[in-house]
Parts: sequence; C-alpha cells; structure tokens
Amino acid sequence: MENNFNNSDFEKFINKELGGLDEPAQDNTWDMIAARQKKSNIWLKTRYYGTVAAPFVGIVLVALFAIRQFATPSEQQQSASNTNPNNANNTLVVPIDSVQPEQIAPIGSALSTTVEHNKFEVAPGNTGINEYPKWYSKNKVPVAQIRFDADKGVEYRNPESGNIVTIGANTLVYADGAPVKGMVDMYFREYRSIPDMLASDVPMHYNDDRGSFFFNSGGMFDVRVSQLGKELFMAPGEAYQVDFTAKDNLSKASLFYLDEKANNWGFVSEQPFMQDAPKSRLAALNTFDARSLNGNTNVNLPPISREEDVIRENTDHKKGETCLPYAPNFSTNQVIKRSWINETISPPSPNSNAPKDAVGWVKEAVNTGLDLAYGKRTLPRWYCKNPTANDAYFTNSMDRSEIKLIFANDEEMRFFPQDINNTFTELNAFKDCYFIRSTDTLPLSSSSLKKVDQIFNQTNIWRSFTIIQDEVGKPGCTITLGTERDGFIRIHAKLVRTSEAGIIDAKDAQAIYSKYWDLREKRLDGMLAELQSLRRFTETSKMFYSEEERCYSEKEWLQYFEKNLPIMRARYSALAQKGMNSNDKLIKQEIESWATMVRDQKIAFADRVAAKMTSGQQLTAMLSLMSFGTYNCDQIYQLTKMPMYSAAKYISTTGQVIVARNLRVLEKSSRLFLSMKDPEKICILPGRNLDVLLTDVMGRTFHMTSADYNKLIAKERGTYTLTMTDVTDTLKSPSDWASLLGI
Amino acid sequence: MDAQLQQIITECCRGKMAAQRVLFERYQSRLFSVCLRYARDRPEAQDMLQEAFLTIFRDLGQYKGQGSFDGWMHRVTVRSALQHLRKRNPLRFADDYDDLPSDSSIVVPDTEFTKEAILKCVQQLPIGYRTIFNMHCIEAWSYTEIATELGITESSVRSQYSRACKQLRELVNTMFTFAL
Repeated sequence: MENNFNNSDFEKFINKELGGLDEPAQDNTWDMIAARQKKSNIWLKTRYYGTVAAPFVGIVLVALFAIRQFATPSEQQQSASNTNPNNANNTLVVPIDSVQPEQIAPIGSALSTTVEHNKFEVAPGNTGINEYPKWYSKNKVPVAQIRFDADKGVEYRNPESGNIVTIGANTLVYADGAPVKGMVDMYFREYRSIPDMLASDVPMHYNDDRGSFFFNSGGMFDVRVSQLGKELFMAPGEAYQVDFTAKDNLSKASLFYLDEKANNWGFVSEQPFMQDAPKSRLAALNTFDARSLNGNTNVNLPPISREEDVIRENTDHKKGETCLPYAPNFSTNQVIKRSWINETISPPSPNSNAPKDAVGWVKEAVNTGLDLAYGKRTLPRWYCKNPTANDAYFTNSMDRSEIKLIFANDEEMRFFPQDINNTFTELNAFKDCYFIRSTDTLPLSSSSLKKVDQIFNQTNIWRSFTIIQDEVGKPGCTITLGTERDGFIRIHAKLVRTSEAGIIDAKDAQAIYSKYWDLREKRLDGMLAELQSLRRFTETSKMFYSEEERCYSEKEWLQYFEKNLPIMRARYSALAQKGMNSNDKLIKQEIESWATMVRDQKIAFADRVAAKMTSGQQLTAMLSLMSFGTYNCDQIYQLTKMPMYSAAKYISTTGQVIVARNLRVLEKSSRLFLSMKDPEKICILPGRNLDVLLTDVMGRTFHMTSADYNKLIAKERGTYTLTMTDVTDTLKSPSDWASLLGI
Repeated sequence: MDAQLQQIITECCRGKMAAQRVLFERYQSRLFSVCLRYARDRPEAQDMLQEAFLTIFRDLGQYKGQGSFDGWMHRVTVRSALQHLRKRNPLRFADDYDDLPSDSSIVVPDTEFTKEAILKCVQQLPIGYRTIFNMHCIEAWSYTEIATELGITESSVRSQYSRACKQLRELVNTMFTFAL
C-alpha cells in the first residue's frame, strides 16, 4: 500500500506520536480469548493432525483391506487368538511365547542388568528409553524401564537407592477393569536431590485449610505401568509394594500423592515412615489408596515443621553425625570507595577469581576476636541480626535510622532534621541552620507534586535523609527523604541561619555543605570498614571452631561468642601467643592443614553416609499402594518470617515476554527450595540469596542468579520485572542443574 | 524469522493453548495500540483485540513466511478492527458521513500533552472520520484501497479524510491551549 499523498506537518506529527504507542491490554484479556479459543483449538488440532495422519491412515486401511483379502483362514484364526477377549479395544497384547529374550531384558544395553526369574536390578538412565507412553510425563530425570510378564509380576530394585518395587502376579487391569495379559512395561523414577526436583518441574508446595506450605522433600518416586502405550492400573483391592528409604531423616515426614489433573499434592498419611523399624511391621501397617482421595484432601492434616528445623535437617546432616568443618573461604580485601552507597561490597565468595589474602584475613580476624573478647569492641546489632546478608541488604539497611523534621511555627514553615538515634552524625554540620522548602519547584521524581506534598506533610519519621547542594556557593539544595512505606521523595530547599535575618552568604553555605559531606563520607567509610572487618572475622573464625560450634550458623555462632566471652578470651589469647596474628609462615601452614582437615572429614563423612544408606539405618517405609503415580516423602513448613509477595513479570535477556508456568526459588546455603503457588507473584526476602528458576508455558527454563535477584529487589518497588536467562539448552540432566546452580 | 517464533507459530497451528498465550504476550501491546486508534474507548479496543487474536489463531496456517510476520499480524488486526466496526455500526460506512453526529462530545483531556492525549483526540473523532484517518494517515492505505475496503467512493474518502484532519487539528489545538 503506497502512501501517495504529501503529509502535512500536522499529519506527520500525529503519525509519529500514534505510531509509537505501546499500551498493554487489560490483565484479563487473555482469559477471555482463551475461553473463546478453546473450541476452535479442537478444530485446529483435528485439522492439523488430520492433515498429517491422512496419508498414513490411507495406507493402513489399504494394507488392512489387502490382508483381509489375501490372508488364509488359519492365519485369520491365529490373529484372532492373539487379541484380548476381555477388551474389545485392546488388540495388540504381546503373547508371552512370542517375546524374544532381548525384549524381556530391561531396555538399554549400557545399563547394568541382572535378570533372575522376574527380578530386575537396573540403574535408572536415559539411554535407550525412547518409548514413553503418551500419558507419561517426560522430564530429564533418569528412569528405569522394566519389561515383565503381567502373569508373573515383578520385583525391581534400584541399585542406586536400594528402593524396591514389587508388583504381584495378575494384579494389573486395563482402564475398563479387564485383566492384563502378556508383557507390560513398568517405569520407575526417583527424585532424591534438589537438582532432581528442579528437573522434574513438579510444583513443590502444599495447600490446606491452614494455608500454603513449602515442601522439604526426603525423596519422591513415580511408578507407572503400561502396555503398548496404554496406561494400566492395579486391580480393585490389589496393592503393589514400594520399599522406600528417604534420603534424609526428616523429623515430620508424611506421604503425599500428586493429583496430576489438579497439579496439587494431596496428603495421604503421616504413618508410613519410621526409623529403623522392622520391615515386616511396616508392611503390616500401611496400605494406601491415593485414588480414594478423589481430589479431596485427607481429613487428617500433615504435621508442620519449623523453618529452623528444616534448615538444620538439611544442613546438619544425619542425626548422630558431627557437623563438618567449614571449608576455607578467603576473598580479597575490598577497595573502599567514597561513593560506596551506590556501589556493591562483595561478600567473600568461594567462586571469586580475585587474588586471595588469606593470611591478612587470619591476622585481622585474630585481632578482631581479641578486641571483641576483651570488650574493646562490641558486635553491632545490625550485623549480628543477619551476618550472611548480601551487599544490597547492608547498603540499604545500614544507612537507615530515624529522622524527625521539626517545623518552626512560622509562615515559611522552616524545618530542621532531628536525628533521633544520633546515626546521621553529618547532620551536625547544619547546627544553627534551618531549611526552607521551595514550593515553587516541581518534584524531581515521577510522583505528582500533590503526592509529594501529601507524603512530606504527613510523615512523622523518615528513615533516610540525604542532602545535595544544588550549585557550588549557593544555599539551595535537593533533599532526598526516605520512608518505609512510600519510598523516596525529593524536594528543593534553601539553607538559612536560625539567627538574625537568616541569610547565608556563598562562603558560609559552601563551608556548611563541605563539612556535611566530609562528615557523611567519614561515617559511611567507617561503617564500610567495620562491615569488612566483621565479615573477615566471622568467616575466618571458622578455622578455630570447636566441634560443637561447627553446627552453628554464623548468626548462632555470634550469639555463642557473646555468651561465652571467657572461652573466647582464652582462645584468641592463645592464638595471638602462638603467632596467628603476626607470623605469616605459621599462618600459611595452619591454613593448609585446616583445608586438608576439612577435605579429609568430608570424605570420611561421605563414606559414613554411604555405609548408612546400605545398612538400613534410615527413615524407611514399606508402602502398599493401590494406585500408580507420583508419591512424596516430605515435611511441610512455612518460613518463620512470612515473606512479602509481589507481582512479577518476566522477560528474557532478548526482551521477549515470558509466560510463567512454574516458579521456584532456591537458597543454596540452607538448601531451602521454595515453589511459588502463583508464578506471577514472587516472594521478596531481603538479605537472603535466592536463585530464581522459571519454567514457561512452552516448557523452557529460565534462571536469574541470586546476585541479580538481590540487585532487583533492592532497586524496584511494586511490580518487579525479572530479566531471565534462557538455560533450557544447557539442562540435559539433573547434574546440569547442579552445575548451573553450584549445588 | 527466528527459530523460536517459528516453533510458536507451529504450535499455535496445532491448537496448543500455551503457544497461543506466548504469541499473545509477545504482540498484545503492539496490537492493542492499533485497536485503540480504531476504537472509541478502551473497552471497545479490548473487544477488537480479542476478535483480532481469534482471527490470527484461526488464520495462522495461512501465513507462509512470506513478508514480515509483524506486518501480517498488523494487517489482520486492522482488518479485524474494521470488521468489528462494520458489525457494530453498519451504517457508518455510508457515503454521507457529513451529517452524522460525533460519537461523543468534545472533552478536553485533563492530562499533559502526551501520546495518550493525542489518542484521546483521535478517539473523539466520529467513527467514519477516525477510520479513514487511521487507514490513510497511520497505515498509509491509498484512497482507492480505502474506498474499496469500506465500499464507498474515492471522492468521499478524500473529503472525509480532509474533514477528519481539520477536526483533529481543532481538538489538538484546544488541548494545547488548556495544557499550556
């Protein structure tokens, strides 16, 4: 279409303005389109698959016709005898006699296989597993596929976990209730680690009348049986057995069943899991029919764990085990920047490529320990509250206190900021001064002037207060005021003296503002230096922990330190006497022996855990189950400090909108794995390092690092827009998840 | 066209709701802006957008990769908007626009002089003026094409367009005066 007319300037102007419009539609627009599109999609599917399938259907029909025409009467009889007389639809049951030996063996030649009658032991894998029934969910977690005779049943043992599935002879039926004959396939998949859970893409939260809960899983498993792609079921009254060992000794483990239609977990029972109980007793106790839940939850409710217990159980390893020593984790000394409030302060990072200064850290830590133990310094509350918090948390929370604006009762409404906690010491520069707000200037933020007025006049306590002189030698300035609720506002103001006519000359104004900035930077630099020093002290002190202290988190250890000052005095005095704050050679040797000791203890620990796994000293259950599907040995919990949830939008790094289906966040240090009930709302947990993982409706996976997440929540308010990296192509197996997340 | 978009289109043709949702999210704001220009107000634009996407999902199989996909989506949306206007106002595409009253009285926008304010002015044009103005000034259709599409004479299109420009200029001038 050619535009063959001369646009006037006016038309060009309108064209330009309207051409650049980019207005989102209402939130419910998609729902309305989706409701109307549903029926059309049935037609689209029919049209699409009809077009694709038509030639094949034609060929099959011709072939069938030809067979019918040319087959001998005896062949026709043979063909009829191979069909299942109980199921008119099921025409392709494989007769037992016709099955070749290689078909009986579990699929996948690369997998280790032991066949003894109907017993199988095959490591789950992805090799050779390419014939999933259509109804069976595909994911990247390895699965064992076992072909067995339905008339004989099967006993399968996973050699990696030791878990056993037993299906009795003649216990399987088709959907219409007819008994199954011939060879069938069992699929058994286990989800035992966080990477497994992530790769499964199964939502990991639970809801009941008491609220919404997160799962802390001790392991999930999934059992399915099919014959030539058709789903099979347990016969009424029949049950199969799963001898299951949880990966962790959860204190409040229960059994849950995934309702795949509703995509919800139902609570089955808290009875099955017992520690080290005789299996005969376990078998007698439990038979569960998850189908009986029928979309409803169990009348009983699962017990709720506390977040602290969950973290302890996740990180403190197995009961009866001594906590492991921490690995050495030295990082470079930070360069203190004058404008640090806008910069980041990097915490010690094990992945840091920066040059290390371990010896310097140890020296400083010993001296700090001495000072703290002997009361020359005190541990500040802001640090003890959350010593492992990230930079954003400290840069935001450290520069906060309480400011009250005191107004003079005059026409100009002169005011001065009163520093209630004496934190913002730089405000002393404005002693004997007032500010007068310039009401004729527009607000600097996007807020309307009316809103700024409202917040300015109604806020009693301000949390932050920054002043920037507008022009050198002039008394005018811009004041940024921060509140908890409304964020920041900026106003223009003029500095005046309280005495006489209040006029301030250029020289005077410059001196006051310079003093303000000097004091402010001194304060901030002091806080930064203290933070650095405390971080080094906390991290390096792990070298000197007793066995008991190894079980503490950083926060708990700082409390322990304060409560046990005599012990600490003795410890740090001994260290200083030995030369740990002066002798570089000695310190190096100590660091090396510490690293060796940590490594040796970890190896020994791994050996002990492996031994325990095989000796049966674990949380075990012998489950009698009447329905196939996904089961979960789990404990539910809520976070101690309820998180704030905020609306979230997602875009890829290439700028495409991502339609979220499943949103998970992971805190690596505590191994807490939070699955969000509503993927369009994200939890805001300042001070915690959360990796964000998202699956979209097309099944693609996206990742946002904890560092980016923290930067985002430090900056934005209201609806958060998360820019996420598409990692789908890098995630081929659970171990890829582990590599991606460093777990 | 990138591979991901190609995959989305294929999935949409198979009637996969998830893919349709992705396509919607990618294009909704661009196409909603088109609908806003043709509509009297936001609710009408919403209706137009819904119709447009239903048409897109239905006809997506006809897009054979020739020409820009964005352009194809845009064209389908404009035609769908015109269809919507025809259904709602069957008489408004008659030749004698001049006697027809405006859809709404002139309201001076209380906002600043922005894109949204100009859009409001366009939306205040009578339906026929608005349609022809959009088709010629923004979409760059020729007078002949518009006449064929709307089923009116070319001379009528010319005169409607000229009047639309005049009325829009007045509205914008009024807005300017108030804004300043």
